[in-house]
Amino acid sequence: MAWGGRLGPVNDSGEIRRLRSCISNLIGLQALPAISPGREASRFLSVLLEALIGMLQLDFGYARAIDTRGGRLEIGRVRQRRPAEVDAGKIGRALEPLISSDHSVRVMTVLNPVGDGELSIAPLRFGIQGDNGLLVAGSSRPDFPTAIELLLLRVAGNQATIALFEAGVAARQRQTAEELEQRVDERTRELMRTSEALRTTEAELAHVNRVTTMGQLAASITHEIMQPIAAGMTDASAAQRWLSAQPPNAEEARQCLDRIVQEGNRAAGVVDRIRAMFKKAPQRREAVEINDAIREVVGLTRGELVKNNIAVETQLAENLPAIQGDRVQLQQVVLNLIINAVEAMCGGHDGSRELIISTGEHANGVLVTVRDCGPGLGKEPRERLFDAFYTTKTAGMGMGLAMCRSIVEAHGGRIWASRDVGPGATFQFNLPLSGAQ
Amino acid sequence: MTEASGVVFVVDDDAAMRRSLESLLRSVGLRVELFPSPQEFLRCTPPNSPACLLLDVRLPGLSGLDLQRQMPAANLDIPIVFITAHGDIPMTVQAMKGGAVEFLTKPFRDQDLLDAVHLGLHRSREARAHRAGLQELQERYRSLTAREREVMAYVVAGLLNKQIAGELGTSETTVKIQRHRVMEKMSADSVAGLVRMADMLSIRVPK
Repeated sequence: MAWGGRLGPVNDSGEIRRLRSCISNLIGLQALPAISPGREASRFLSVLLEALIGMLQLDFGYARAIDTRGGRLEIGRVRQRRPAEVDAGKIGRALEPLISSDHSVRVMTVLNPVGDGELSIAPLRFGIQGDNGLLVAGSSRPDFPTAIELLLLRVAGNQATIALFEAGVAARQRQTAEELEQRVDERTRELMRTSEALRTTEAELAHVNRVTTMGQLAASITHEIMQPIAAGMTDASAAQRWLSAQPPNAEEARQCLDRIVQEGNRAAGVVDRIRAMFKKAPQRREAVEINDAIREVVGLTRGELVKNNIAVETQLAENLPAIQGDRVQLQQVVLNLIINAVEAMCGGHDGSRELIISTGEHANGVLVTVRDCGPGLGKEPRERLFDAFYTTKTAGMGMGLAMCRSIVEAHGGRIWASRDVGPGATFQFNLPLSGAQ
Repeated sequence: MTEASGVVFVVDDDAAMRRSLESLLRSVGLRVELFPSPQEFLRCTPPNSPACLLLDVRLPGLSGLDLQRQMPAANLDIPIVFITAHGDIPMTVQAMKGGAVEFLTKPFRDQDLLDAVHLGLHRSREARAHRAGLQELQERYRSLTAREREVMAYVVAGLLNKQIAGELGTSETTVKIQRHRVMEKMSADSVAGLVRMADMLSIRVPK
């Protein structure tokens, strides 16, 4: 390199001093990125110019670059007591015609753009292809620039290149981060809106729930009651035809009438059971045979169970003591657990469809267990299952189990979901003999 | 109004319903067979008399609509009258699309049920007659020689004896004799009658 030969042999103390100062300046330049605040191109170039003015006793320093947004960046510093800001545009305009576009450093003497008289300038292009920017050092010192000063200028140019590149990367990172943050913000707002809508829907559906449950029940009951009525009417028509036949067939007609009586009783039985379930009575205290109460509910839901292809098995313990309580309310608890089980086993579940309802003695009372073969409760927090408005169903309102709990607790009992008893979900409740205190 | 030939199959899981339907159908002289489930019905041998199926939609296991879908595979071509406690519109549409005769909702009027059953038996009888006629016709067609079948195809296409002779490269007299034999073997009294037979047999007219 050009300046290499001019360094010459190290033969006097002045040379050693200059080399020491050069090394310390080099270290200073290397450290610049670390001490320049932020990773911004304009800040770094300002700090770099101020450092060069101090190191090389410059009259002025000037830097020009394309910033990360593609804009023109122009910075000037002059030496007063401390390096001060100066109209960089003025320096740029004064130097523009003098500076060639090639990459070599051509030292030249020009009119001082920031003061009087003439001075020497060393313009240096920098950047990966030498196209990012221009660094100009100006000094009125007659020996400017020495070989060491040129070396330092080149190192400064390299540092500026690296700083500009890093500033670009940092800007892109900032932009990506901002975009991401914006997207997160949008999604958050979206989720807030959805959750708001959900809350509204939930409130609306809580009202619909009662109606839906009634609708399902109504379909099941319709089937139960329509069956004997249809059979009875058919038998009545048949009887008429047997009697008006030639000759009339009294024996066939009598058989029809016998069956009509049976079917009438069957229909009356269904109506009685429905009436017992829906009687709007205040909470009553009566002796309840829990097995009988359960049998009635199972009978009423049989249509629904058959329709959904579910086999029901009852394992009712014999000689259970009667408990004190409200029969209809307790039946509602059982009905609710059955409907939940049916829904669990119908919701896209391919396993066996079996519902097991069992009773047994428990402490000083009875224990009722309703077990299905559905997908089970998984990791659902069991203590929350009985909270109002808590639901795991897509169409559930989260009212059923809450009502069950309030009824069972009003009877002095407790209801819970058991862990790992069967393949599906298992719900149990106990009822003490004495009832609520 | 006695339907001497014909049997009504009743598939219903409710025993009381089965017995009342049986009594009603017998009171008008119909033969009745009862089945508590579709599975048991599918095990019975296809009847060789006109038949109608009285089917409850809602059954444990296989539903009535399922059974309707499976019947063609089981080689059971029996008109179906559906009965249900609460039929919804999609269910009705599905049943009727599948070729059901009628879709009755419980409780139904006895006359509506009997009309539907008679319509079903009527359709069954017609289908059987159609099948029997076709079988007879196929047998007659099988008795033709290969050349007679060719002549028959040209005759029903409307070609004159001379044209047929040209097509087959034979004499008009020969064609005339063969044509006479075709009419005789097929028991056709006119060309129009022969065309109808060809239509039933799906004989392609040569170009």
